[in-house]
Amino acid sequence: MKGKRAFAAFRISFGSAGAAIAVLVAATLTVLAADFISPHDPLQTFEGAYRLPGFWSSEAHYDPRFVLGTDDVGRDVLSRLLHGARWSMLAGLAVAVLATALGVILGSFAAWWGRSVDALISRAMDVLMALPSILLAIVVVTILGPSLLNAILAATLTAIPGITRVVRAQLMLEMSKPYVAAARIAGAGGFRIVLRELLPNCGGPILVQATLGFGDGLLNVAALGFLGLGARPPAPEWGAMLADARGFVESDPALVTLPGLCIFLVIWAFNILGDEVRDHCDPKTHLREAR
Amino acid sequence: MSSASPLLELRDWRVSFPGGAQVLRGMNLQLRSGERVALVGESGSGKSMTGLSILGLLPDSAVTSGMLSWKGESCERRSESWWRERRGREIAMIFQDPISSLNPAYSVEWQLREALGRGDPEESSSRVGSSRERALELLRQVGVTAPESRLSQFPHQLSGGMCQRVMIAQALAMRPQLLIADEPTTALDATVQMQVLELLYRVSETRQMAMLFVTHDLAVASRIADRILVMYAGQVVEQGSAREVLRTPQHPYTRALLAARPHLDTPPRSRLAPLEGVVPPATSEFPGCALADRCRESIEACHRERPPWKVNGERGRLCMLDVGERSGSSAGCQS
Repeated sequence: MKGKRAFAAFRISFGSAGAAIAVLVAATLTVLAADFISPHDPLQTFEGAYRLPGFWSSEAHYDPRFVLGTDDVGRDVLSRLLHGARWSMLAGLAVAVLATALGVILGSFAAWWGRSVDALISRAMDVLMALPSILLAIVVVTILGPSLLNAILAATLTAIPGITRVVRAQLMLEMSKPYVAAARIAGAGGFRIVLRELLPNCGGPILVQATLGFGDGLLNVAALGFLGLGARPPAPEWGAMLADARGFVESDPALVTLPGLCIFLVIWAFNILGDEVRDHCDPKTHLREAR
Repeated sequence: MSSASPLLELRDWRVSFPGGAQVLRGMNLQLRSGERVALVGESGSGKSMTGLSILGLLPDSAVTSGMLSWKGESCERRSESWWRERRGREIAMIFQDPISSLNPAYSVEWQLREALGRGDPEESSSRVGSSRERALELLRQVGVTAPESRLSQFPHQLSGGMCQRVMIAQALAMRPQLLIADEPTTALDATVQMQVLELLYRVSETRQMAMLFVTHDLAVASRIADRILVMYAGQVVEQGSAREVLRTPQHPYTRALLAARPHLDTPPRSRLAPLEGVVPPATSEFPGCALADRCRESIEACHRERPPWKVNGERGRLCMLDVGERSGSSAGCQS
């Protein structure tokens, strides 16, 4: 009985992880092949084809050229969504990479040099964390001016504290281990110890945080796009598409539902993947499974 | 370097910390090239601090005085880079806990190559092809079985004894002139302990490498060392050749340590004679002898006056009493 339940739980988690990976593989392929698989140019407007419904509509004005319908200025929604994957995924990737790189650097300095350096970095991170991330991002974009690049920078800034804290805590844990003393005694300097001895042992938690940061970054960039502070129209960014379609929520709910669904699916997939990576990196999980 | 000047010398070496903790209270030690010396004492007697001093790795807050010299050069107020030049290449150290002293993220081969590269800067450029061979050679020297398959293994896949051998191989790769071994066999079982001791002895013989062997176990010390220094409360209380110290201990503390060990001829179920009490905390001050309160042979003067350092050839002891006043050396090592 107990074993059966455990097996069922395993199947469920494997199932969602599989689905998440499938979503991410599909999203990645879309990013790479958007130009080839989209039926139309995402910016092209079709005269007279405004707000056409998609394939689900049995009405006469469904046009088979536009499987998911068209938006208020006559652009193909499917093409825009496919190209939007490129914008959103790359924004998420940029946030994850930038925030991880900066977080690792800041966290390493804080952990290794300690004292005043640590106090300075840690308090700065506390200040960043004290503000709601979207509010902070809005302030940054307001200062820099609205554009996709600035939205990415703003989202990166809000993602840095989480990674910095994880890196710092993990390094401090590792620093107390004898192999670090052994490296010092073998004549290694601070940079060498941090880069070659410590960080390779902190890969798991950093990877988890980076995976989650990808999803969070994508969401924040989309949110800024929705507020008109990210990608500029007519760019087919998912958040901006949501904003454009805001006025037609009642008449054409599909126009907001489809980009919203895309954002939801990708972020869900990244969160599931992050959990999965965490379980994989945590030695306690393996112990539990072995038992 | 002339043979007369010692490789390492500590004279009246004191280490203290703000707040009054004195961890070394005038340590004297001379180590010649190729010589094996054991530091023996209880926990808290300052053995490990001696090792850290020699590597320049005392905490920043430590206050030192006295003389510490390496190859005749004073080590006082040296920069971090001066120390880094010497750590590993000239002075290496191995620890008590071999498994966690190896980086868990790297294979044995990686760790050995890293050490080989550091010991010989030419290595990385001119002899890339042979570094695997040299790593294998090192593993064979330290008696690792099936060295070819060990190269690709990670520390968690090795036993404690194997890890200690890899640690030793790593230390030897840099060809140090002095190896500090901080209780290297404490975490190992008795058979492996003997093998590791024999290994260390052999390497130091063949490479003419000096060794400072830190231990709390007199039996271990006698197996490996030419000379034994018995430490108590941050001072050397007795020194001499390993044989003589064990046969005819002259300091009450050494005698107490020896009496606390079982022998083959100890009758079954008889009680050993432990030395009552613990090493006094590093913050305490003594007007007289540090051992006076625990010493079974202490006389009233021991509590008032500092004991003198009495030297007789190789032997020395820090005690008020004369050897003649002792109750004999019944506790001495019988072997």
